[in-house]
Amino acid sequence: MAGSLILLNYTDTTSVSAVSFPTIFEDNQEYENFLVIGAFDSDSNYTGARIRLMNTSGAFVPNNRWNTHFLKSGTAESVSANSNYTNGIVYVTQNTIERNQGGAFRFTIYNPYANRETTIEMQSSGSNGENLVTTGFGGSYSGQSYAGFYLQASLSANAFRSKVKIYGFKS
Amino acid sequence: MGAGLNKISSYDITSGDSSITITGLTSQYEVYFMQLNNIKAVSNANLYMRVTQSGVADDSAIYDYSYNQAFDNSSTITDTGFQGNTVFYLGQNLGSNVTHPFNCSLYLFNFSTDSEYSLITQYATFVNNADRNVSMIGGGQYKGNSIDDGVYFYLSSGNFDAGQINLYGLRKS
Repeated sequence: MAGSLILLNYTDTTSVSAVSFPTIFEDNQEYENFLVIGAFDSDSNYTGARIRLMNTSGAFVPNNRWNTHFLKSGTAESVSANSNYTNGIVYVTQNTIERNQGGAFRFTIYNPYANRETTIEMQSSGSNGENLVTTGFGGSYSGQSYAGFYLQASLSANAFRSKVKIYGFKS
Repeated sequence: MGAGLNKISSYDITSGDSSITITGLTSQYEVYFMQLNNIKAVSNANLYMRVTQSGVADDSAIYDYSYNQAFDNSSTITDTGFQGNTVFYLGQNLGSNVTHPFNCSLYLFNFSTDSEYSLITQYATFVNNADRNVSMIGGGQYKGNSIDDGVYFYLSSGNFDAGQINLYGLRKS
């Protein structure tokens, strides 16, 4: 029996402010849905991770819709929720992931193509001494399509190291 | 060691389907994974799921579940729970516009044993009938001491219009 979750890309980077996958969806249109699993750590000090979705011209898409919900183990309740990001930045984790403690995340990206709206759901977990959990969801509207995305340090002065795997679901 | 996720079946929805039954869950796998892709209703409707035995859906009031729901235009997240319902509640106000998809990942646990309840976890993200991005994250238990072989989907009103449902098994070894 053939496997049904196909590894499309794996990166292992250090000391960068961003990792780019500009055409990962465009190059793999035989897959309708994608799974992105990764881990990162701050190279120095602390940072978080965020993504920007990119269009076929390699530019980020500014007007996707998102709601990201932040939780902390120390308070065991939600501390904030944000909606309707219009600047194209989606926070994967909170900003204060500390060096040598790290963060990890999982995305499912459904149908990043133009024929229907794209939807995405995400969970992450990280640490700055207490556990920082983020859940999020969102996607496109008005028929936007995505060619790829890039993952970047949420505090650009603080580079990170990361390992990211991207899979396609065989349909 | 082979791949860990094996595709078992795929169901393409035909416009006018009033319900969908997906069977084939056996003891070959302990955990099943299901993706609902681009599900669309003919008109605004809620999406429900039941458990099947020998392909027949059980409508007994033994479904417990809870979920939280969030919208892209609100910072409020609502928590909802039910006990003793006759369905699992997977989606609210599915969009009927052709570009509005309902997408969902389900994990199905313990279906092929009658010594434990069948359990589900749900991660849904979709565009609803009001053109808002919505998230529903939840889980549930089916309190039947039965060997369950599948799931049954239907809508609160009207028929399905389009979409695809893929069933996968997670290898045990």
